[in-house]
Amino acid sequence: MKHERWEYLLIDYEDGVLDQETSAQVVQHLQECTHCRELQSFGAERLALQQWYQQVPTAFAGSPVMPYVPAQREGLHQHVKGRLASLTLPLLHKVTRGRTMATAVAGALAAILLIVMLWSGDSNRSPGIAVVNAYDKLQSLESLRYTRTVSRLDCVVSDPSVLPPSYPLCVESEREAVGEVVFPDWWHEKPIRPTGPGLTGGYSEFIIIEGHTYVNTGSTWAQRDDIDLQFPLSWLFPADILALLQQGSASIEELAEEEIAGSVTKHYRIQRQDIFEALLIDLWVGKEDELPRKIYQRSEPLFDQSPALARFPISTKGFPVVVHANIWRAETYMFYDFNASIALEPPPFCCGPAIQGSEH
Amino acid sequence: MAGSKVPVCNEADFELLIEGYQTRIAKYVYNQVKHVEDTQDLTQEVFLRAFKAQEQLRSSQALVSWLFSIAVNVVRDYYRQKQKTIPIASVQWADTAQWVDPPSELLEEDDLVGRALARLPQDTAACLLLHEVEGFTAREIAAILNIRPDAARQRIVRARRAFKQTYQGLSHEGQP
Repeated sequence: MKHERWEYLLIDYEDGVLDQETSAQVVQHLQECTHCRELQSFGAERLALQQWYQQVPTAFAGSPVMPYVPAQREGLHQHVKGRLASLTLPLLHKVTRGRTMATAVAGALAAILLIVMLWSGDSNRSPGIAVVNAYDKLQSLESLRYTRTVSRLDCVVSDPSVLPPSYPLCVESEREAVGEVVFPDWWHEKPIRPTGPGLTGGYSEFIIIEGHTYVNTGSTWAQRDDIDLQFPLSWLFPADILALLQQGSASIEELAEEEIAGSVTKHYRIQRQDIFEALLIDLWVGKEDELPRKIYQRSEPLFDQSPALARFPISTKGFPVVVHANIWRAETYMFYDFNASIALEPPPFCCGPAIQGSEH
Repeated sequence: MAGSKVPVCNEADFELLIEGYQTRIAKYVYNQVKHVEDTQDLTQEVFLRAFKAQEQLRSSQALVSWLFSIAVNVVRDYYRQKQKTIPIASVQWADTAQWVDPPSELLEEDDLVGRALARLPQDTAACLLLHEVEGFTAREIAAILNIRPDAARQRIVRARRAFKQTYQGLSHEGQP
C-alpha cells in the first residue's frame, strides 16, 4: 500500500468511520511509522485553532448575528418576498388573464404533462438536468486534457474621492495554457501563449503529483508544497449554481447545436447575478457521450451592489491614489482526451534549472 | 430520512433556520474573512442562497454540511472577487480561486494562529477549520467542498503539515 493511503486511513481512523479490522491495522502502522505519528500529533495545534476560532467579536459571541443588523435582516426578508412575488405572480397572471378557469386548468395540466415529458427519457433532458449530469460525468472521469484561455480587462483609474475622475488606463490581456489532469489531484498545466504588456510576472508551469507541487517560475523549478491547488471543478460549477439548476429555477436556456472538435454538442447558457458579480456560463455538452466539450465563463464584478464588494477595488499606493480594478474576465476551457493514459512525472531537474522549453 | 426531500421552507421555517445556524455560520465566515461588516453581508448571502436553493437539500441530517457548502462557496466568491482587483503589475497566470492571498494586513502581530492560517491557501485553511474545529469528517468535507473524498483527505493531511510547520516556526520566532 502506498504511504499516502495510510495517511488517508489515519484521517478516517480519527473520524471514526473505519471498521474494527482496518482500525487495528492503522494502530499497528502508527507504531511503525514516524511520519504518520507526526501527522497524528496535532493536539496542541488543534487546541490553539479551537481557542482562536472562538475569539470572535462580541457581536457574534453566543448571540445571533442578524439582530445586530435589523435593517439588513428586514432587507433580506423583503428581498426573498420580492423574488417569490416576481416568480409566481406574472405566471399566474399570464395563465388566468382573459380566460375561464377551465381553460386555465387545462393549460396547467398541459404544462405539467410537458414537464413530465421533459424529465423522463434521456434524449429529452431538461437543460438543468443535462448540465448537472455533464458535471457529474466530468467528475467521474479518470483523466482528461484541456486548453484554457483567460482574457481579462484591467483598468487603473483615479480614486474619485481624492482626484477628479480621469480617463482610465486599461489593459486587455489574454493567456493560454494546456493542461492534463489525472483525477482527483494529479495536475500539470503549462502556459503556451502569453500576450499583453506587464503580464510576464508570475507566469508559471506547475506539476502536482503524489501530494507534491512543483512550480516553474521562469528560470528554475521549485517544490512548493505549501501551495494547495486542485483542478477547479468546483470553481467551474459553483455549488449554488448546481443547486439552482437541480431545482430548475436558474436562468438557463438551450441554444442551437454546434460541432466542437468533430463532435455534435448541445449548447446551454446559464446566467446568474448576485451581490458579487454577473456571471455567464456557456457549456457545450457532447450529444452522444454527454461529456462537457467546452466551457466559456465570463464574469463582471458588480462594484456598487454591496458594502463588502465596494471595499474590494480600493488599493491605495503612493500618490496620486489610484484604484486597480478588473472590469471583466472570461475563461474558456476545451476538454479532450477523456480517460486517456496520462503519465505525469515530477520535473527531472527539480529544483534546479528549468526544463528546456519551459522558459519564457 | 435519507433520500427524501425536506419540505420547502416557508418564511417562518426560514426564520428558524437562520436563528439556529447563523452564529455558527457567521463564526466560520468571520474566521475566513476577518472583517465584521463583510461577515454580516456574507452571512446574509449564505442564507439567501440557502433559501433560493432549498430544493437541493435532500435530508435534514445533511442540513449543516449543506449550509457550510454554501458558506464555503460564498467565501470563495468573496476571495475570487478580491483577486480580480489585485494590481495589474502583479497579475498571476495561475489565477485559480485557490491562489489568493488572505487579508493578512488585518491580522495582529501576536495572533500566531491567524498569521499561520493566513499563509495557507484559502481552501486549505477552510479544510483545516472544517475538520479540526467544526468536526466534519473527510467525507462530509468532500461533500461541502464538492471534491472527491480522497482529495479532501489529502487536503487535510497537507493542511495539518503546513499549519503545524508554520505555527511552530512563528512560535519559535517569538521566543527570546
